[in-house]
Amino acid sequence: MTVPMALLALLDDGPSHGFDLKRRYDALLGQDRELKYGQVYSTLARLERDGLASGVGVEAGAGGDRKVYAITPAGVTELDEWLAAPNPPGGRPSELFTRVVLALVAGRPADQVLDTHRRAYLDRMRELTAARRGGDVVDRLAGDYEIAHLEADLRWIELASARLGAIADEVREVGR
Amino acid sequence: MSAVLEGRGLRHAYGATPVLGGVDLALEPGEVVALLGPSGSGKSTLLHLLAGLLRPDSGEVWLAGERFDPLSERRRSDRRLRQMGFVFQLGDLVPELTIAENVELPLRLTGVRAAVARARALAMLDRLGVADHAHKRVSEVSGGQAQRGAVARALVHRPPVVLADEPTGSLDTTTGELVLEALVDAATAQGTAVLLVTHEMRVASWAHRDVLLRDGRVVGAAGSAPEVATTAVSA
Repeated sequence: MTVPMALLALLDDGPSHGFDLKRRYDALLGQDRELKYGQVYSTLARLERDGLASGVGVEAGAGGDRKVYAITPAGVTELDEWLAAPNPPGGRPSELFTRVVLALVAGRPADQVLDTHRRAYLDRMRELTAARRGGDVVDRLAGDYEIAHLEADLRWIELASARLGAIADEVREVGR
Repeated sequence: MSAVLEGRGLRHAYGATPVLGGVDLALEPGEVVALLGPSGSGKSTLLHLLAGLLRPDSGEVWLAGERFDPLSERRRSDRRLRQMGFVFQLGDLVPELTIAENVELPLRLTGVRAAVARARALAMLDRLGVADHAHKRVSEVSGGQAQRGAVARALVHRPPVVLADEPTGSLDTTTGELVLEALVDAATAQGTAVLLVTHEMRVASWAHRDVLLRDGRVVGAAGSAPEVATTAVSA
């Protein structure tokens, strides 16, 4: 869902072609997942088919002509609606939760599962804290986001660690 | 490199209640180490032992190459003044003094001349980004500015080690990060080791490495000391 909306948002800023859209997407949102050209062109084709964007011309480029796209009024409405609607909260806990429950059920040391994750998450947080000081404003925003989520996971790890002894038997009982 | 502050096999109990069960911890010059653990894990007791405010039931504390824990209260107090800096959760600056006068204190108390102390205090406040507030009283600055003043006071006499106990505990996240950044940068630059005591992982992530305490024992440690060679600190 994000890629079509991202391209619409970039087109809302002004008409553009696939090559430029990919470059701008990567700079803003590509953190460790850059967009493939194939995905850019297939998405643009879909947006055009659905009447959300349309070809408005051709621009000469280094590798040949580039089709320039513009957002349509329907595309603007689609983008506005998407931005206005909340992204449903995640709800489901991560795989970490699954591993802890399964360790308890299987009678394995769940505290070790928690310790291993605490270690890994804290190391990652230290990396991000260091990296964030060097990056541009978008990198910092992305770093802040990941740090806040790691912090939430680490908080849960502390809660679960403190309660592990008391809940182990009950968790096994629920799964019977 | 040899440790500037080291606890070896530290044990301590309050009455019949054991609080620390044999803790080893060493700080190298210029490194920032986070001491992490939930409430009741023994962090504060360990900090008090390392600062010489409590004596261990067994084990040793070494400060700048010398045994510290068996010294008399007066000599420990003198070492603390000269070789340690402290940052607490609530700044703990003297409210009747200006920020600059607070920062001068460790220098004045060890016999540094007034003009020299003033110049060094102002230079440290400048380094921490609060030079503009040097001549204001504590009540006239924000919590974050006061806390940077407290960091300046802890570092101004270039101690080998600073003990920081939840130094951002009273600040919001953004302001806290500015204080941490100032503390870590200034300490690392002058080769002062910092023990950053906290229960917050986000705060701990500013340290080069961390030590996790639970039920009075070290249960995990990770990270590595900074690779850059730091200049030796005069004690």
